[in-house]
Amino acid sequence: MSSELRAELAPLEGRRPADFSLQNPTAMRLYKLCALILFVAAWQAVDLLNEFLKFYNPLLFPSPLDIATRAAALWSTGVLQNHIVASVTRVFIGVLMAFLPAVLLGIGIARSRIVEVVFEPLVELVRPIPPLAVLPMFILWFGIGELSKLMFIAFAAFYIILTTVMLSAVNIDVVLVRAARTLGINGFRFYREIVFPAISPDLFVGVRLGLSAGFVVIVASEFIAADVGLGYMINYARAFFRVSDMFVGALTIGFIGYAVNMLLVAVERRLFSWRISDER
Amino acid sequence: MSQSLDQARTLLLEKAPKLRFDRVDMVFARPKQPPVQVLKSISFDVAEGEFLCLLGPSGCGKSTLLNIAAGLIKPSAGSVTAGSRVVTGPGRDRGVVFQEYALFPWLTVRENVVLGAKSGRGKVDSAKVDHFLKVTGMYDHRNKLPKELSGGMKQRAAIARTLANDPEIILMDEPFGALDPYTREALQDQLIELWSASRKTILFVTHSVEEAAYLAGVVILLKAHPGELKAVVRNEVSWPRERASEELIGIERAIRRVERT
Repeated sequence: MSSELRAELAPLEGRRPADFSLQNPTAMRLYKLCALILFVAAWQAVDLLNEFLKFYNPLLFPSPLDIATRAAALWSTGVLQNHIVASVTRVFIGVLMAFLPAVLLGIGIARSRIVEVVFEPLVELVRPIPPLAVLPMFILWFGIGELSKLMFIAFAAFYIILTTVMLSAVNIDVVLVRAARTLGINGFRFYREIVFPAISPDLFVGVRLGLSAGFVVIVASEFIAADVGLGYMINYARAFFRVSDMFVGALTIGFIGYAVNMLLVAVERRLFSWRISDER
Repeated sequence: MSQSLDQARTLLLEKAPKLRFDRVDMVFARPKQPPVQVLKSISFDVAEGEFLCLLGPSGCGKSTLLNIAAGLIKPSAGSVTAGSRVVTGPGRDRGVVFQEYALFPWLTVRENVVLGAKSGRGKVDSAKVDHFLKVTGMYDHRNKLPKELSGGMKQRAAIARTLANDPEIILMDEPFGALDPYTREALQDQLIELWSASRKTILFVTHSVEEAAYLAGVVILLKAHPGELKAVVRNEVSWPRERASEELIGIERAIRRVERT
């Protein structure tokens, strides 16, 4: 709707001079990028200054250039890629493992009194436990192999997906539910054709947040028991005092998390354009 | 001989209502407050093919009554019989048109109507779907999403969806309440056209005296707190009716006179 409106207004306004004000989203994006570059440049400048004044040990706090050099070196040997693939795969598989149980239980608790009575108390009791608290247990139960890390990520993502699904399924518009009932949509059809599409935008957000949580906790699990992965890389670098490597590991996780999030937000916009909230 | 048989048959048909409300009570329990009685012993019949309007001020429980007939809520006492069966839940024999349109926002207009048609047994009859899209004037907009439609178009799509489900009784809960007067009148006329073509039984809830007088064959007046049946006004003005004609104004006057008492 609004884009149509804009299309009609555009020829009236004709060619406008370039808009550099803070109201222009494109200009804003440019300014934000500049701000980021400025920060990095300032950091590099401080490092340069430090070479003469020596007020801190540069070994403990490398410059952006040092980090970039290390990143390039790690990339060219393929080591960095190995770690990235290992960590990303773990996060995705872990979230995937959490997906089905979280969706089923979330819808169940929201839409069925029986499921609510049986599972809600347990779910609410376990919810406040920080995932890190169960990691040692998971290692005892599932060994120091892949499974304990996957379960750990799944545990962290499970609650996030469960919560979004639960809230979403509780809040399905009563009128839509009533319309479905009067149209004779019952049983499994009701869940497949009404509940699932109705919650799908929120479910997508849940998965996105679950992946973010996965990237948050992956490092901890790879600190403890791993021989590959970005968390392992950071911890290994610590043992050898390679602070630049630690920065490379941490920043890589940041970049991946950001990229995955941006990608999913873009997919979300396309997939759920039917939402009324997009109208205005 | 055959004539008297015919007469007997018509009598019988008239005797068996399509929808019967039998001493329906509705009491809502409220936390830390005395329960509130919304409906008190409501009894009336809707004959087959009749267009009946439930008219009353807000708080008279007319929407509650409609929801009970739809099977969406259970009455505290009394019963509703649709056809020959007592209403225990929603059913395909009773289609509902809501004031809030209730279109599924993730489906296009056509997909919404298909969903209505699919509830029946067997495969979706594509020709039937297109037919109802055409009679409601939504065929050209069939591939639009609900958010792209105006209120009037949304309600026409919702009516098409209900019709595609082929109910015997159509329950309409202030369907045109949120529309501007022009759209409202256009949809009223369209509804009358659809009704005369299909002769479905319609129970129509409204708080507009004008609307009730224009549309209904029978107007049931309710009073509020608690919702009680106040009067039944028969509107025998023949179709096509003319808005603001002497006859209809007469009906409106009759309704308002009862309302004031």
